[in-house]
Amino acid sequence: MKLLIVEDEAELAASLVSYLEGEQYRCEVASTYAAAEEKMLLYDYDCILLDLTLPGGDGLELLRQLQQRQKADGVIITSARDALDDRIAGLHLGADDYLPKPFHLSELSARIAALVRRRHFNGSNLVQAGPLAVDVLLRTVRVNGEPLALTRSECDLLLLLLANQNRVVMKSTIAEHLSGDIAEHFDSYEPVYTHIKNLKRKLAEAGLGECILTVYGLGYRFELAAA
Amino acid sequence: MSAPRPIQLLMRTLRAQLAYAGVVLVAGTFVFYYVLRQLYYADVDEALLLRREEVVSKLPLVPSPADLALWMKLNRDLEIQPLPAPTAEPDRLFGELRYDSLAHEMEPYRTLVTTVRYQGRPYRLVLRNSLVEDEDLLAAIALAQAGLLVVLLGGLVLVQQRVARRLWRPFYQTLAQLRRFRLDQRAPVALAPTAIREFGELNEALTELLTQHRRQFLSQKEFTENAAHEMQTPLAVQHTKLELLAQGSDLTEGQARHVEALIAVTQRLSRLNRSLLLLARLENQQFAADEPVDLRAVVASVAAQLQEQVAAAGLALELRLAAPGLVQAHQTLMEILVSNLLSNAIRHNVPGGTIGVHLNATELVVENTGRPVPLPLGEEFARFRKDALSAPGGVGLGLAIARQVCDTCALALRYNFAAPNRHRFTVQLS
Repeated sequence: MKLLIVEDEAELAASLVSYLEGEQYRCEVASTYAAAEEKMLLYDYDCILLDLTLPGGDGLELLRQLQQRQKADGVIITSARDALDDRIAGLHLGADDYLPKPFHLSELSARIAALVRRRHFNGSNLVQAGPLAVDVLLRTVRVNGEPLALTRSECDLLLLLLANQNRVVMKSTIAEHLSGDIAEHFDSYEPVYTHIKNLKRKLAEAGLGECILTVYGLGYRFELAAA
Repeated sequence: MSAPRPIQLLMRTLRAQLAYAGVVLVAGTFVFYYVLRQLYYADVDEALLLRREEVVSKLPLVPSPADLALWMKLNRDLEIQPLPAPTAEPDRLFGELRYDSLAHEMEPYRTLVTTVRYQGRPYRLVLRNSLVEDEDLLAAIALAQAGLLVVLLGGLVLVQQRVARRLWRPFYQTLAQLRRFRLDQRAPVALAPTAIREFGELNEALTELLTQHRRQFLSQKEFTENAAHEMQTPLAVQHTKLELLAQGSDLTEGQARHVEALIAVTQRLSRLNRSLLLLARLENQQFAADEPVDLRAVVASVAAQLQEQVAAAGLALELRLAAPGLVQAHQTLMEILVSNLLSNAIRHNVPGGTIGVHLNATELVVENTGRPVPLPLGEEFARFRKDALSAPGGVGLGLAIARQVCDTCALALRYNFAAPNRHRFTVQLS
């Protein structure tokens, strides 16, 4: 999987590269409008992470060019410009997703995974990990072919964890992931604890053992025991 | 003690004018009457003196004292009597009341008493002039004069009032404009030009003052927006670095705690920052509230998203959505509004409390149990309002944003408190 990270803030780009390369993505970085334009037009990427405020131009203009040339790259806008109109303009211009800065790496990773799945596996949108198979469209989970009944939230949670396997997913990331785009935030992580507890129990009952590990107070890590 | 009730400027001048006109009218009528009378008396007295001359010149023609009596009989206003003492009396002129045998009542007279010589002997000559006709005339004249004065003064006051009202009109226009003025209004203030120099200068000074304030206010808002915006990227760097740090396999529990605290703070900062940015954008009128929004769907979706928080807080949420609640607004802003009101109701609730959301054709009501005292009057929607009873954790901008969203979409947002502990926010839809 090839990613293009269009980001002028070097440290942020470095963080993205560091995290996403751990997810088996090959990452290239463009830090100016011109560099991004060149790379975008020359190569094909599975996903482009696009910052809108770039030295030398507006990211939305890049998006417009991509659309004109009918390039099939998936685009996720990552911008500090959270103006709702930008978001809508971006989606109109063919961006697939919009993630306002600051964002969570694991959330970004999940969004990239979802985007790549959507674009590459038409129809059967299946996430597989060992004996686990999650049909994203139907939201059904099977373990070794046996159906596992999960609630919608538990299924979302599982997908987030699966997109970040062997990584610590912060409990705050989970809370935001589950509550959607709600502006207000609550300091109570009760719902997160409840969902994790239930999901752990159900996975254990399905014979997967302890695959969700608690990492101190920070969050959770999904690890499938080596079979 | 209450301040004295202010009176209108025009009323005050009118009062002064009316008081003065009244005094002039009453006093003037009397003074005029007396002056007129004095003038008239002087005239009558002069006539009496002339008549004395006439009598003196005609006396030698009277042949005998008996003829004098006849003369007196023919002329009621003439009296000639021999003086007992040969000494002459000084002339006297005075007013007196006498019985009038024709009118059968006492009438005023002017009387001249003087001494004349007739056939070598001194006689007292009394000449009278009845004032009766002339007093009536005087009164009539005074009355007519008073009437004239009434018309004159009344007219002057009216004219003065009308002129004053027209003169002061620019002032009242300016006042009305100032009343309507809001620092965050879109258009700069434009005070109407006026032909009167003082008001022109006033308007000029006010325009300058208001423009300056507006400019300052706008630049402050712009600053907020820019500052919040510039902070997003460093915050993103900080957040991602902390996340990477958390991935370290050799992280000890103590270090993990530090990282957790740092992440929590970073998130708090970015939430605060996002709220500030949203507020600044709302204030800068960057959203057009011109799409139809189905509030019922918005409330249902937000309530579903918050269901878990409601449950975690041990609250009971009651939705009564009786109407579609169609409003001309902005979809995302309405979501933010409902979400903020609901979040507020969750955050500031009490254990085992309730939240009621009622939507009908005219209003959206979010009511919750909470602390047993109302929010401070006038500060319900203030930013960063904190007091001893505030719940921890919030950034303190939720209600301010709700208010600003309502302003942007031209909806009215009200707060009520009902004893013992019910807080109610009402969004007026029409």
